[in-house]
Amino acid sequence: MTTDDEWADALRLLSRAAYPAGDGPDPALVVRAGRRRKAARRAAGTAAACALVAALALGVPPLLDRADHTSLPITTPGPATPTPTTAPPSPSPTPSSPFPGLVTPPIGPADATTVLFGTPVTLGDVGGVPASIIGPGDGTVLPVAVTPTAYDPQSDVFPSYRSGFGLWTPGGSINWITKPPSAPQRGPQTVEAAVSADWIAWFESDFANSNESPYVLWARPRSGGTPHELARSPQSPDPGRQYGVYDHRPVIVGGTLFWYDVVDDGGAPVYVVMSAPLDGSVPATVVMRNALTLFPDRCSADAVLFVVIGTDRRSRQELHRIRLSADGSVVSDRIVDGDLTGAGEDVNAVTACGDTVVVAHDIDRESANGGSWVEIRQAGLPTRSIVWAEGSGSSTGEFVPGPGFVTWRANGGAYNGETYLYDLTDRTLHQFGPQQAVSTDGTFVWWYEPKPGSQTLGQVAARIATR
Amino acid sequence: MTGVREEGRDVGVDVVLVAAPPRRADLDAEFTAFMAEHMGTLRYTAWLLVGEGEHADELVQQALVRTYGAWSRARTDPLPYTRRVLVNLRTDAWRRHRREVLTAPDEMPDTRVDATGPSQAEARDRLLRALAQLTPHQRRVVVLRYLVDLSEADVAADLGVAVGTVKSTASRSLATLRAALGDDSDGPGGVR
Repeated sequence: MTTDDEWADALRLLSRAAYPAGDGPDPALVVRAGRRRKAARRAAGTAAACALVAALALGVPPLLDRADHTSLPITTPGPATPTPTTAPPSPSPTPSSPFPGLVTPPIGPADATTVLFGTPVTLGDVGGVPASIIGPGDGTVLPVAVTPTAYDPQSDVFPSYRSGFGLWTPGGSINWITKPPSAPQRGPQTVEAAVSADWIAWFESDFANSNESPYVLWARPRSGGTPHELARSPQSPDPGRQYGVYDHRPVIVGGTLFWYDVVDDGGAPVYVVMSAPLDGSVPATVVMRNALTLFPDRCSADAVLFVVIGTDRRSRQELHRIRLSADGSVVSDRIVDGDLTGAGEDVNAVTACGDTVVVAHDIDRESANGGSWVEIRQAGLPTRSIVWAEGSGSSTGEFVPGPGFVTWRANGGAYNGETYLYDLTDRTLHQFGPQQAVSTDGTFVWWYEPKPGSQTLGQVAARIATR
Repeated sequence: MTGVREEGRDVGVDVVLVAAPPRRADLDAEFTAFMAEHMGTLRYTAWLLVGEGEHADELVQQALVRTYGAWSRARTDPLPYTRRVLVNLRTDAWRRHRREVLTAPDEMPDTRVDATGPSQAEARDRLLRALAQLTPHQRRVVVLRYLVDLSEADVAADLGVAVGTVKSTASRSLATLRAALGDDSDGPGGVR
């Protein structure tokens, strides 16, 4: 029997034998992206940064060579004569369009987004501590948390301290559900919440241990009363193993709460959609398995959820819409026939707005011909309209669907760390500035952006304009 | 020493010699040399954390971009700094993408076993399947402690946890791996 040390030495040999060596990222690209990141973080305001990006946006690098372009498959089954892939209307073709016959739309000015968002309001500090929006509101208020922090530079962590949690009226005061402590005190934090006209639900967790921390899900009527426990994080049969997700994305639909979670299935993580009646009358249950992501439909009058079903970004993925039937049971419809992935295409993210489906693809990112693109589909139709593309080294992330728009961040490539907004109503693309972590609940939109004269980020919120 | 320091010089009674700040070109050259020297180690670490080459490259790039932005303070000891950013970025990625990207055992491709000994593909398959049995925290500890071969104190510093936590987590994780890889006298994968 080998000792632990001997076995660990052998494990090290195994890992070195298994490692597929590679060159790593291009050092020149790293330096260039580093310069851009520093510049963006130092930007005194949105306008200056947007001007820079708009200038850079004039040269979109090639994404794929011609052979690849012409073989790009349309994978969704459709009519006997498939509709060819088409681009959205574009005022002026971009010379370096990555697909033959296609033009990606020019990038419009960032300030055009004020048509959608109006003037953003900066969240204030509470006792010198910035407040943060932690979930969807009911159209009038947003749940916010205020968590005192004490950064420990030696260990490079923020220990977990209790947070205050309340409902914030943009531009107004906070109606506290739990008062913020006057000084940092150890304890669970309110990490996510959802609010409707009738209910409040929130997750408490020891955030210092990040996604491995168990949570407790609480709920209470909006009108007041004692909170009751709705659920706890699923327990693994192995006490030494605990899977978790960082964002549970709680969504209230009527009297039911939906959220995203992970369960231990024979030692492997399986991602699921959970639901529970907010009055706690029935225990929480798994309503869908193999959920790669979950997001609410912000574009429909009746609130429903979208779920992407699959096992990973390279395997078959399906987009389902789930809703509650009259008797309260969950109904699922697949709204894109077939697989969202195509030959050699990775699906990086999917989002939807009503019947408009937005898919972010990556292809062969390690190749000079690889890259990423964003395309729009209509549910049930084979048409794929490419609205944004970028070349080698790029990927997309932080996809956020809103009513009539979708935003995402471009990571890597020439536009590292920039946020884009595609207006689904007038089919225009905008570089949205140096914002980060854009979120929306359908009524409000909020994000982080550099504070003027500072390298730190502050959160702002705006009410989405009605058009 | 007394006096008030202002913009790199002292205003007061004492005289302080202050070195001229390095030029950006020099800093860039220094950073580029650092990348050239440690890219392999960082990519190896990232690959062990994510189990996939392109994700590893993405992770390394993001860590290096952030290190570049903090080079003035990171340059005194840049490898631990970058490694810490890399591990924390992994955390960020989990948080942002809202799903684990660790490859689950059932999702691993089947590989043909080479009768003459473990091929690289087989070794990779065995290793990644075993690592997928661990929680993200356990995996980080195992990668840094055993596979990158850091001391327990260095792992504790990188992860922001106590040395005792590293010890207990490493021990428990190693037991899981031994069970997953076959606890025989030949060691994991028969590579001894």
